[in-house]
Amino acid sequence: MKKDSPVALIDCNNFFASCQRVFEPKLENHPVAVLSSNDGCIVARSNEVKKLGVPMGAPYFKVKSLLAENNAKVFSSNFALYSDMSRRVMEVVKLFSDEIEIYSIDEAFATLHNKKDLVKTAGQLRNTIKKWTGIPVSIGIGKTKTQAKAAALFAKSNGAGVYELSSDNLEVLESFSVNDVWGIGGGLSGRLERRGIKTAYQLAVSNPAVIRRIGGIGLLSTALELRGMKSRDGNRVLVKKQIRSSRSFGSPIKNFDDLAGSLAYHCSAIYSKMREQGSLAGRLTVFVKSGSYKDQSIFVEKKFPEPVGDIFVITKEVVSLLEKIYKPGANYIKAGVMVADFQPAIYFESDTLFGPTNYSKQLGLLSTIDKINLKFGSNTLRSARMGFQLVWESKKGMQSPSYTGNWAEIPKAFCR
Amino acid sequence: MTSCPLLYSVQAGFPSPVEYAEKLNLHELLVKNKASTFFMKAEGDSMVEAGIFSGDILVVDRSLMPLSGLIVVATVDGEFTVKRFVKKGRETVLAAESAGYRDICVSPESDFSVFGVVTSTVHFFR
Repeated sequence: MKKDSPVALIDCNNFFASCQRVFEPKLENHPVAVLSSNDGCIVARSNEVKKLGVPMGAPYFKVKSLLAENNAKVFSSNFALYSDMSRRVMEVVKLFSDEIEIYSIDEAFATLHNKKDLVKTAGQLRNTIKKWTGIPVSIGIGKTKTQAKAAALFAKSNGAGVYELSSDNLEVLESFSVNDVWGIGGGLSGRLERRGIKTAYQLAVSNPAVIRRIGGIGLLSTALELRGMKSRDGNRVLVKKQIRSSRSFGSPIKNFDDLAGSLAYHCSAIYSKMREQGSLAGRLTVFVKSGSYKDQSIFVEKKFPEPVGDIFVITKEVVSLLEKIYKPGANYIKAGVMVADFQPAIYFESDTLFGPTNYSKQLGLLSTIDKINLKFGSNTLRSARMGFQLVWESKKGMQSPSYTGNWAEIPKAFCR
Repeated sequence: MTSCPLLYSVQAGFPSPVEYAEKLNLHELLVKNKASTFFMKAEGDSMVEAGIFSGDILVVDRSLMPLSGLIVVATVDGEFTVKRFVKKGRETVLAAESAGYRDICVSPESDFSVFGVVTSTVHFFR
């Protein structure tokens, strides 16, 4: 982003739910919810569903009856549809901007043309996106990305649609907790709250020295950016291009279960790093090295049509890939897992089962294969000796048609 | 000595016409605005007189302004319908093209909106 230009954040409202509504106009003021892959938990809620008190990430089984009582329409996620709609929204944003940075499937930072009246331009952009794609968005404008993000949050919550945050109206930040600020997570917001800094406004106006003592230069940068001063704008965590975990074994491993167990450990390690950088993975590689005289390293790779962020899915896939390359009788001396092709994550499903932290500790208590069997039914995974069969399949019972990706599923327009 | 793949041969004289031929792209012909164009499938016979047959693919552009006389896909009572958009003074009518199908008079209170303008269709003979 150019150094001195104000920045806009275009943020789609309830994106997945809104995508579904474009093609089912009956759902316009109706409660709509979208589930994560495997129909595990809620990843998108229309405003009506939010009002019912359904939290983001709620396990579906917990809110199923509440949703049914309120006649909510629940969808399995349809990534092909959401990617296509996202592409369309971003194309419109490009028409209105000098520069665009696509941050996630439903958010983009942009420097808008016509600096003279940004709110007006943003309003036109918002209307154009709604007309051309059917997707409602909120646009926040500020001097920094952090400000733009906060402004967009404000625009969303007060229904204005567009909001420009500046040093003149920083007080609106009183309505947000520090946890709502971009880049501030649970731990940091706890520390701030204990020191009496509870709202985003308080963070913006607090003494910089105090801020720095609480959270270092990173937090200070965030606070300054919130105030409108550009320091180090942009991604907080250095996003790696690939993450790998591997280990040479002390003594060779021959047994499939033991090898799978070792890989499960690597999945855990990789998953925590993925979570730290907020990524979903599009590509998974498993490799094993056997210590025969040839000393070969064999690897197998899988590309996901939908990026994954669920440790159980990753582990299941790793075990399934291992099955492809495992040779009974071989002496394995090293094994590892690698993930790549990252996309920013909106939500991490595994959190709902074990809580946001320490899942790896809890996973350590049971072998991963046990856990997969627990979650998906016993004997979902069996060792190679018994004949390996993966019974578990992606549940997507409530997926809408692929309205923009499959000729057989395009919407019908009635001539009657 | 390593082998070198033959990329193309350079000839003296005029280049062969094949190098300059561009493929005709139906998608480019039909989709003028990639962000706002959607495909829908027509079902029913009310627009036969307008040349829209059941099973035809409709190319629908949301970015175009519905003007009187244009064929549109409208949302009526939560469903997509194909009608001719007609403005008579202050009145808006969504007109069917064949006898036996009703026109819809649209009032400010009615639950209607225009999804997009039908710019072209694809009709399959086989």
